[in-house]
Amino acid sequence: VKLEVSPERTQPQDVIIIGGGPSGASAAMYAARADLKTLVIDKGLTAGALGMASKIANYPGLHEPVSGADLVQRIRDQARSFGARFINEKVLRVDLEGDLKQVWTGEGVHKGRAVIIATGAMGRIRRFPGEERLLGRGVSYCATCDGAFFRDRVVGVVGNNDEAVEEALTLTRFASHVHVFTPTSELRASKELVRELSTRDKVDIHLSAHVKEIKGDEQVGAVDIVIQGEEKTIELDGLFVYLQGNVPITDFLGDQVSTNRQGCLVVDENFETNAEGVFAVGDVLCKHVKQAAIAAAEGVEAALAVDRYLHGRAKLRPDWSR
Amino acid sequence: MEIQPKLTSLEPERVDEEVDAHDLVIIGGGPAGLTAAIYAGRAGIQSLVLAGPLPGGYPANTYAVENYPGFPDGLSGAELAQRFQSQADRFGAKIVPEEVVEVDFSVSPFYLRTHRRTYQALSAIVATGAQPRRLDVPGEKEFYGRGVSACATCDGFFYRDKRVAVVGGGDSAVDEAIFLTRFAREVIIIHRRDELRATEIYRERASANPKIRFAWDSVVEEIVGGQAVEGVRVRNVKTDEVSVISVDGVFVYVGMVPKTDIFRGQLELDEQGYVVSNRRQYTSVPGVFVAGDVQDPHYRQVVVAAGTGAVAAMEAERFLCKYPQGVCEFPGGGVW
Repeated sequence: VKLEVSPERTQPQDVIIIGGGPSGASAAMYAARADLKTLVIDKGLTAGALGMASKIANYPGLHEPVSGADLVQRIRDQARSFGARFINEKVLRVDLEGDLKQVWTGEGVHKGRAVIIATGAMGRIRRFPGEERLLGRGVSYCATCDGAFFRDRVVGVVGNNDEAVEEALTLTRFASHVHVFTPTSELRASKELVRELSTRDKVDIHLSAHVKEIKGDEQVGAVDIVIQGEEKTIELDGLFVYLQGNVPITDFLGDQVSTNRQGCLVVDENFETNAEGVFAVGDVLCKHVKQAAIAAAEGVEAALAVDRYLHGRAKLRPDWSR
Repeated sequence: MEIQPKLTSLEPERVDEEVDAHDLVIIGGGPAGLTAAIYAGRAGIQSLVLAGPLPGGYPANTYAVENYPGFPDGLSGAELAQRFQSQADRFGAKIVPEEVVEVDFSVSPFYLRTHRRTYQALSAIVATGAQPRRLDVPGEKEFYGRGVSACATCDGFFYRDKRVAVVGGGDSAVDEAIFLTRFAREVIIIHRRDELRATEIYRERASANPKIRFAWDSVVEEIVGGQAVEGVRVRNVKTDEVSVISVDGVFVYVGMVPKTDIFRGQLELDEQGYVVSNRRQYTSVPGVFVAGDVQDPHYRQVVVAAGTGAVAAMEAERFLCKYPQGVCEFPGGGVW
């Protein structure tokens, strides 16, 4: 099949933003407002961590709680109103060498003078039965965001790393009881955190625990789980999943951008990666603070840095002299 | 840096009289301070926001904010400020219109004094903001947000195919003038001397740009117009000749002033007076965090200020958790 190539597609962009969550869409808005030709490539509105959140109450300025998808949509509409273009494609690979970067999707190739990677950290492939269906209905990936909805309720945390333990500690402030389900035979978090977790009265740590199914009709009601070989059903109202599968999505980059040992992209203070003209923002940097306001701020800073990069501005001085 | 103790704040009569104790006191009621209050509230910490006489911060005076993510239709600065406030309020923050006139960060708990009373705080977030230096000429205040702006990044988009003036001659004035040529059909740089103070690279770019013109040796005496800006009246400082340049917008770049006078000797400040901080919003004093324009000589965007406010609150939470009496339980109000 020979694909019809539209001029839109062949014209190089000033900036291609991969990922249209809060950081990517905010970057797009600022880039477009600075009159940069801006293309956002995204897998879909609810593909990211914010897009699937059921309720956001702490995004500054939105005093009426909105769904995550709604918030993302609002930022996208705003970016579009300044001329940013959004397309729904999945990025397969990139070539970030040289002045004109190339981004391949299932539909073809896009070219851009700069790239912002904002793909997030939802890179887990395998999911539990029931997980997808109950996402935002008791299943969550962020205690800082959703913990307050579980005041005086029973919740579970699945995971064994620092993030899982930190989030379990956060949940102890709200929940009446916190079950920690660790797939391994021990917690692999820092000693300090493990010690703190084990002093909490309302916490039960279940080692060698393997989730079989998350159950519930409208809301999470229980989890079927095998603990040390014994099959059990534990009733709970929420399940927070922090398996190491929640990795930054970087597979399409090959080894063109430096990562740290956890697979997170490494950037300098201007959010630029080791590849010239390639920037990264949001959860793909794994800074552990999955907050839309912070991601949006990062997107804005990166967009201003891209503008500076493209226009050869020596220093960042958008607003006043010193 | 050595912190200078403010012995006056430890005088017994002041401590006894109306001391009000808090886990977290936020100084400043703009986007950074109120976002910090929202996030603190979310973490179960009841904060006190000493917002000063005019809560809402800098954007409250802005006519239209259209680049704050999440509001595709834009909104007025006053409405955005109101939204931040009611949200902070709903998360349990206590917002009072008192202005901090003196702090003592050399002792823990910290002391903060307003005109009305003295407060004690286990942790503090400094979010006092910064203000553009004004020209102090007739019309400037009147047309602020209706043609007069101090932020091309914010407002440049409104001036497509229009004629604008930039007042100033430093790097950022020239840089912004160049930025504005993307939208405006003509940009006039009004400068009081006969050459730019900006560095070589900016001077070269400005003189090479066909859309930029210069009004040398000129000072703005008045900004004129009806409903919106229509022009600037300038006086040539060498000839005293007065003329009116007709423009649709005036961008004033004669410097910014961070509001940090009360922190001198208490927090490390850079040579321009901004609070020195890092990406985790630490200051030079453990337990004192900083957010927003008061630590940001670069961006000055509402969303960036909000982002730093959120980080500062989360770091304050982390700090309070380590506090011996805090133990991560915040029933609200002085718990120790």
